[in-house]
Amino acid sequence: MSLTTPVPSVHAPRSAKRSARWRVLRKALRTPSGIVGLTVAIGMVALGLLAPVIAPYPAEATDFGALLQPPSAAHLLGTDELGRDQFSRVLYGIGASVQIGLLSVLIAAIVGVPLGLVAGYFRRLDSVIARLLDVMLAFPNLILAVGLAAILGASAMNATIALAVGAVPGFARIIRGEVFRLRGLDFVSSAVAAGAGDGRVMFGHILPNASSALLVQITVSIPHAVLGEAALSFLGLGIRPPAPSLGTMLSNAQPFLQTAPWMAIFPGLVIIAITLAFNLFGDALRDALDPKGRRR
Amino acid sequence: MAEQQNGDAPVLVLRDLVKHYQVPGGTVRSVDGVDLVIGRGEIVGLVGESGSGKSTIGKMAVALISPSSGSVELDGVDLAALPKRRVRAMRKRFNIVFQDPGSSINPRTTVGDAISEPLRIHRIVPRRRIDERVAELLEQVGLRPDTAARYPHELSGGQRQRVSLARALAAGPELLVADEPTSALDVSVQASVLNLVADLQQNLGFACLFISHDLSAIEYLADRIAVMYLGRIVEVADRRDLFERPMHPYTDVLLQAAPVADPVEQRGRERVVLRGEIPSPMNPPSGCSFHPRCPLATEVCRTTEPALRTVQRADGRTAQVACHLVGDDGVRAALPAESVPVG
Repeated sequence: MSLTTPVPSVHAPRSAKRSARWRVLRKALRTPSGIVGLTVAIGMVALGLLAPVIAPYPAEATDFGALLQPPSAAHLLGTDELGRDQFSRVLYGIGASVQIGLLSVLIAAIVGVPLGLVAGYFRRLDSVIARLLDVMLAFPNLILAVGLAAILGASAMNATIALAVGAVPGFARIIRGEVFRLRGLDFVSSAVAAGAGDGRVMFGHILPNASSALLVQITVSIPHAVLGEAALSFLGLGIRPPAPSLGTMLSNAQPFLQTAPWMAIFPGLVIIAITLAFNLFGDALRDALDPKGRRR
Repeated sequence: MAEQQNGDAPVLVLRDLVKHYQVPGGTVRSVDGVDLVIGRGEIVGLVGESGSGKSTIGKMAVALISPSSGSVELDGVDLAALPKRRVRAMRKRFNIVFQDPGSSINPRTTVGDAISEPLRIHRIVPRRRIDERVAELLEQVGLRPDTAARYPHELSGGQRQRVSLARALAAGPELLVADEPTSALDVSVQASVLNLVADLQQNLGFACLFISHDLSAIEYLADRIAVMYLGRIVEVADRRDLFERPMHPYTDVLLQAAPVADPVEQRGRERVVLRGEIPSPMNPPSGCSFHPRCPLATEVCRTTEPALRTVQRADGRTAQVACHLVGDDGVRAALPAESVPVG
């Protein structure tokens, strides 16, 4: 009998691997919301990172000769009640927001992913962990973060931790669901049958196949964290003045809403832009991952 | 093909194996007291309708699910009673191939990684020789060595089943469970995969539990055949005996249900067609579980459950059957003749 099976030639095995991984991203970027979201998000991150280079004034430099100035050539976004350049402060504020947002999501993922893996994989631990997550989810995220920040004290680090704690259940739940979905598939049984231990099955076989869902969760968690950071800073529980933050700028602007509305408008618009950008991109990714491939 | 060698201890012994699932509303008796022996180098076919518990037996045989009671003895060691760690160390000695080629290989790993995983886990060959061994295995299953760099989604169903076979055989197991390995494939590909299993078995000499609902595949491959109905084995016999003189009425009907290739013969065949569906394993019938559908059923069938017992045929060969109506010589009254027009 003939055992030869025609094998279509493949020249670049590496490109195959990349195509599998990047297919979803490419599909997401074919939608307007995906491309706009990613562009704006990358732009915002770049602006934040480059703040020290771009900003025309130091973030905390006061100029008592130019208080509450409306936008002008000298001060693109006007000045605040201490004569600080709003444009420079917004740039530094973006940097702070993005940094706290990304860091808190990273911490949440590092804690939440193993928690979700363990909960989904070991049925006995699941009831305990699931209950714990339910309790955490029962608290509105912001209240939890405010409470934690109040206990830990106001600082950028503590705000990051508080926001991370609030985001952990989201990660754990997504991963737990993925484990449930994947655990029943034959390739997981096949790994067990091959002699793989629990660690190899979880991290070598289940987690790589949950990476797309994880990516989506990261993308949709970032805007929450950015918004949370702004809220905490607004309430005086985040970044401490005089260091610039979009939230504290909004808070400062309150008494001057009628006389100097630009103080609130520009930081507010930037918060909206960051949040919207990440949300749009996250939604596009999620749609691209949907195997039913609904096209709209 | 290798006969079961007398005096040589069997590879696998299933003893009074039971798997019950608790579900809302009752207990599903998926496997309800199964005894089966697989000799060294022997291919045993396990045949039955869907829902009869074939796959559950296969998964218990390779310790993927643990039995509710009973034992799975590999070379005399009861896997069900062994701690997880010890079972894991023994996994190089048995493995399984699944039905669905679409989901049985991790989509994120290359074919090479999939095949070499058992080698790496059990340290079968030194690290630097792994690629070499993978190429050997690929060639053994009729694939080109450069397939190692490919991903499962780039392969056809038949090619993926070959990869699964290579992976399952990588560590050199004594026992391979093949759970409907050809059922999801095109008919044309089925034959080549069946041939491959037969060739590999002959060259490597592993014992095989071949699970299928496809009688022709079983007939082609198996030395001995076990027939399942509703979680129990109703008949075990050598291949030729089973196909030529089925003892259990269910086996008889099952064989008659399989079509014959010759259309003229097929049209003229007398067949007994079963009425009704296979009963729910949640609420199996009293007595012999086949009695509601059996054309020969008597009072004793309704009340008393027949045990699987050994009978000796006139030609001296032994077989096992669970039916009140079969004598100790393996003979039973014929099924009532009934001509069924075939469209």
